[in-house]
Amino acid sequence: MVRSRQTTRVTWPALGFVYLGVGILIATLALGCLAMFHFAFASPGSRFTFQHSRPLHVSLAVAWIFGTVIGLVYAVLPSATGRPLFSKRLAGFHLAWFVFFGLAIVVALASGSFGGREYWAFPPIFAIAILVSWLLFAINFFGTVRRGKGPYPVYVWMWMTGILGFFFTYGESLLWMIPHFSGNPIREATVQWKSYGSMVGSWNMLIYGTQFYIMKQIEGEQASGFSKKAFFFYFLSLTNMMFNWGHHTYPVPGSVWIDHVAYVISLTELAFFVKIIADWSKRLDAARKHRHNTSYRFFVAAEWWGYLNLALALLISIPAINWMTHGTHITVAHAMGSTIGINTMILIGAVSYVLHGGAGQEHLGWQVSKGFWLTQVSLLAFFLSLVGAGVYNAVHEQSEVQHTMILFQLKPVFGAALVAGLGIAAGMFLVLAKLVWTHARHPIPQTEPV
Amino acid sequence: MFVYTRGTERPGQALSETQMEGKLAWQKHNCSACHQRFGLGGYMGPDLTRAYSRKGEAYLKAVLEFGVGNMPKLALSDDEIDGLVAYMKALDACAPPAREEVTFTWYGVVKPRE
Repeated sequence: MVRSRQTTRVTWPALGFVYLGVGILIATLALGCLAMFHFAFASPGSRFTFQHSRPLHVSLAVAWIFGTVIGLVYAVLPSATGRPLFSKRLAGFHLAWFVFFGLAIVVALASGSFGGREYWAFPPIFAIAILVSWLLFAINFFGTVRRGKGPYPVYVWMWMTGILGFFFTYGESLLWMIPHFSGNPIREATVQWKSYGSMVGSWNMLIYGTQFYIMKQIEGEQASGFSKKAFFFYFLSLTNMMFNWGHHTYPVPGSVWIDHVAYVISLTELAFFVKIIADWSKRLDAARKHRHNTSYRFFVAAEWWGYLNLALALLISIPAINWMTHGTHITVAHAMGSTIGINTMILIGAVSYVLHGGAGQEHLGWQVSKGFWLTQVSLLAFFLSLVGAGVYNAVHEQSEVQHTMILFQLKPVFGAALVAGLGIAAGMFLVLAKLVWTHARHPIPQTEPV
Repeated sequence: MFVYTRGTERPGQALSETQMEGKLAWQKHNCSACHQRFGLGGYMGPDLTRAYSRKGEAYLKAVLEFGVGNMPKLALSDDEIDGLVAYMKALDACAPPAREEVTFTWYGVVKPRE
């Protein structure tokens, strides 16, 4: 048995963000199922349609990732730097700000007040609230790190880069409001794709950084945070943050060379990422795997989803295949595979570590195990349904069959995807309910094990 | 940013006032939830990047006014309908080539059909 030593108590705002993130994920899954229902069995006459459910689902998915990773960084930062959080009060204010403006965005989208962008479809005035929220996070993060002593391990560099990268990419994503960009359709589409792609790079930095830290803690090997391999991955991710949007701009008639450079970098990062988890998994002894079985399972699941996404990404990077499939459900499978399969698996594993790492996770039992497998099997069915729908769509859309007719023919596939989506939601709910319920009843292990 | 947007400058590509009004109507009604432009947007409706040359102005106006299939009747004003059609005309003018205008090589590259 690996001994645990209580070092740093996780602060309440960090736990608040983590609990909030779990709540947002459950809402995201519910709205995702509703959006899928609207998609498969559309009802254009109703007041709340796909036009509402899709942007709500997408915005909440982004909020789940950002909100949770903020909470996780707040939770582990004191232990990672050896210094208390710069300001717990500021973090509490940040949480209140996040909740207030998050609810305001939900109300705006649900009532049909749109800004009209893809992904973050809320009115652009909320961009100010999001920037302020990120500024509060940056103040607390850099205030804490500044007090610590260098050299910093790789995960601190990843968090720093992710936070600064967000400011940069979010600023870029707002360029669409300037006439120089909004008045030119190709330029606007390129900038939108570029900024969103790079923003994914910035949140990957935060997520991967958190995962690196937790993997190091579980392994108990302090030097791994300074290894050459880890820093090579950091620089690869940094390059990826600047270029990984390229594969989405194949349909935009801009410069072609950048698409190919971008894709090679993006795939290299994914390949290297799964290699790091695989190596870590091999190094870990059975006792540590058992003690942190929930985190371990979800991290290894992210590795396998990484392989599957890599295979699909390799295929759709071929220009001819990309040309035929981009804009079909194969693109959705690619997005869902990475958002649910990689990012969400890592985040759930990290949430389990923060809530239960101190006392060990082996007591979480059958509910987490059942939920885990239900999630994986359902996600695979969901992924394959989307790929199947995408292939059918790509073949028939090229032969000028009406889009509505294709969707009608694909109804059984979308029905299957809806059932699989419900399975994902049920599986994740089983896991999250157990993690939160057990923690709420026995809140003692709010500490970091070493 | 300037590197990324290189190759996006085309003569006559800037949107006119009517086309810009159409773009604003697109944003206001969140058309991106269901339709794509240059691959950016939802999947419920067809990609509208080339809709103008494929379907024609009269068809687009009729669909915008009355709805069809999954497309709801959105109660758009005449100005909004004119603007949206003009905007789709602008998208069409700078769209990538259609399926019938390209060919695929055995090693997976897309080339213009000769």
